[in-house]
Amino acid sequence: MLFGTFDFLMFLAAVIALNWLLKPYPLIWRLFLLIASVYFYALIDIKYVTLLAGASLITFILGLLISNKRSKASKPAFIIGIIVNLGLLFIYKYYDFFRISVESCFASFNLKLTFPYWEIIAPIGISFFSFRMLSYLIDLNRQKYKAETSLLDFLIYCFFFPYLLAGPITRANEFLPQLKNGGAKTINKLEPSVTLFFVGLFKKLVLSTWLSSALLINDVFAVPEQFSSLAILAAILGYAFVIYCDFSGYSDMAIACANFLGFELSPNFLFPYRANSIGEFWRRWHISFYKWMLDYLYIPLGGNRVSKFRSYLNVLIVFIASGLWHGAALHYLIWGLWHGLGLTIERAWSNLKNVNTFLKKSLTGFLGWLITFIFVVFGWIFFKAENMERAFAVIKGLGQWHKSANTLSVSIIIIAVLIALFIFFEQKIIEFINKIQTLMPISVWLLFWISLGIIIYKLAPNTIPPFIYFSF
Amino acid sequence: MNAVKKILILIIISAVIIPLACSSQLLAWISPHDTNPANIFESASIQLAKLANQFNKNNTINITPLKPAEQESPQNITSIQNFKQPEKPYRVLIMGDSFAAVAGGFGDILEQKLVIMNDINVLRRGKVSSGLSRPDYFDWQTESTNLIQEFQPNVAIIMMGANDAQPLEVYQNGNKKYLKYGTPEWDAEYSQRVKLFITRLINNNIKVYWVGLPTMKNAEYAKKIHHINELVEAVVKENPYATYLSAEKLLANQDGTSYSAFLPDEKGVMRATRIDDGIHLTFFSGTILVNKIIDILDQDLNIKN
Repeated sequence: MLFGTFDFLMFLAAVIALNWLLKPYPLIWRLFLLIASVYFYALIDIKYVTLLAGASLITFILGLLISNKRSKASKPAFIIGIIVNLGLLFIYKYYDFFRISVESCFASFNLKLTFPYWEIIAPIGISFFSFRMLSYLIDLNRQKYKAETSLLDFLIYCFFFPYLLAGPITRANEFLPQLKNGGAKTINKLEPSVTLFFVGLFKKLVLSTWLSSALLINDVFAVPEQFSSLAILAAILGYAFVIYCDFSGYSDMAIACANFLGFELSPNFLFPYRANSIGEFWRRWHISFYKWMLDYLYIPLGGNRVSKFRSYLNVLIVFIASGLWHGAALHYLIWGLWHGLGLTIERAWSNLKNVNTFLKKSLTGFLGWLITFIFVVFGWIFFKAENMERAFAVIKGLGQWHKSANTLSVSIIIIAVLIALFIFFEQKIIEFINKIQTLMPISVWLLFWISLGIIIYKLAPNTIPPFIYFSF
Repeated sequence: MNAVKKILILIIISAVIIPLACSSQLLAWISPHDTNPANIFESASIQLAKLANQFNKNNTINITPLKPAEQESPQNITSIQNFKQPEKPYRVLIMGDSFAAVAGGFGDILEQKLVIMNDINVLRRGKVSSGLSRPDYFDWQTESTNLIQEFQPNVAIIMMGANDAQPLEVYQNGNKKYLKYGTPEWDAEYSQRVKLFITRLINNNIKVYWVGLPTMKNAEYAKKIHHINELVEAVVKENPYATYLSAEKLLANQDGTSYSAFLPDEKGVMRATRIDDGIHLTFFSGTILVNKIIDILDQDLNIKN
């Protein structure tokens, strides 16, 4: 069951109805939330329910030990908790890459070193799950809040279906107090949440999939040698919008679903392609992840409180780690490094004192936006390409002006431009929809959204589009 | 009206009306391989979509008339005409299901390697979830006819069949009939479709290379795919202008038969051969297949020079 499928719509309807029906009975309501979330996950990946449940249980027990600072077990419990959750991530995401790299390295020197190998299939959402567990343990160790004492509540936090598969990476101190209070007594910001849900659905089912197929993005990135510079450029630009629509569409739906159940989650995307600097881009793109990296990696490394050179190094470390979080491959590392270098240069530039203030100011306006946009879009080449060899083939292909652009029709270019405009003006469009909703009588309001829902599904492709971020 | 009542009315009506209104989309999304009996919401949505289809007699999903391949095809398609060996420049048409369509599997790696060779033009046409079983979803017979006209290939490389172990819909004596997988009737009809597909290519002077599917991780699915491979291989081997490459053998375990999740690379380091689903190939195993098919092409057509 994936967000946006027809069965998910039915599941959501049933869960929302029962959620509000059972809310007056706290224990039954909590049990219901847990069962619904586990059922949701089991339908996608039943093999790993016990694994996540086991990791959750261990984290819960260790959390209790960490929270008791007078106990001698506090520090070892913290270390064990970090090892367990990082270990989980390592085994499922990085072990095979590590094994092959080390064995190949030894083999190059005619030495034989063999690690055990086995089929490792990463549970969907493992990166997001591990990061939530790690943030919980680190926060407890920092005594930011007390450990959760109710196993049921903690398991709900671990399995809560709206954010379980692909975030936002919700912190325990954001979610658990809401759960303790029984969630909101009504749905706050109903109209904006409904808009968020349908805009997310539209971005995912229609915009992302249409752009992918119309601009032949997968084909262009696989064999750029076959395409003209214009087609490659369109595919690179298109991919920038595809990944945004795909991931932000999922996040929008997740946040809206949580809100329908009476929980408020922080936004994960704030119109990132409107950013005027790389720093601003990262404050708008996958916000929960960026904040996680700041709080749990950048600041412990010293953050800005160290020498300039060291703080630049910290930025690079954080972004290389961010790249590798997406997958154990060189092209993800390079993508992270690209952003790290960009941010480092940006910081160094803003620290320069002898630069003309006019020049500095002009870089915060349109020129800043343009540079940021081109920088981010170029970075997506490394992210999307299968490997570095393909990434360089794409970059090389940008110079193939001799080839005819026979894959791009005028109508495709016009629709792609309209989609780009939608994304650039998304905030205004959402504000407009929110405004007109409040003026609608209930019957018109229902008709409006149901009609829109039907149109979205009618425009959707004829196979279920998978979410890009599920694989991370 | 309070917010909770509003969202309840909206979401419940949406959950019923949208599947009814978009029933064709819904049925197309649910592949027979993926249906999960534990997913009661999926079963409910399918029932709703079927209900909508009953009311909508004009709906064409799942009822595209299809005659048995033998009846549908004129005699000159099923019998081989005079074949001319292909000559340079080669125009290579790669066709298939997700093995040809999806990045990092087989089709794209083959295209990457061929496209940089001299005197070779390549066109890759892949369609996810397609095959010869469901022409109502994607009709490869028609698609190949169009591609022959448009691209005028002289070499075709095909890899498909992973979605084909499902009932075949045929019309016999004017009545719609489903041929169940695992029956002799299914085998005969499927073989006929493969034959029609290959013969059409050969009659257009296109040399055919059919890459069989690898052994699948799931034992039951592996058995079905093995049977499909056997049927395809038998048809291909009847034909002197078509070549069959067994991925089952090439990517097999040391005992030569079963599913092999890992194989050694040139340094002896064990590398994964499949992605998470136990079906599709990794870059490593895709490259093994591609290198083999390129060797065969080189032997037959001297493509490397």
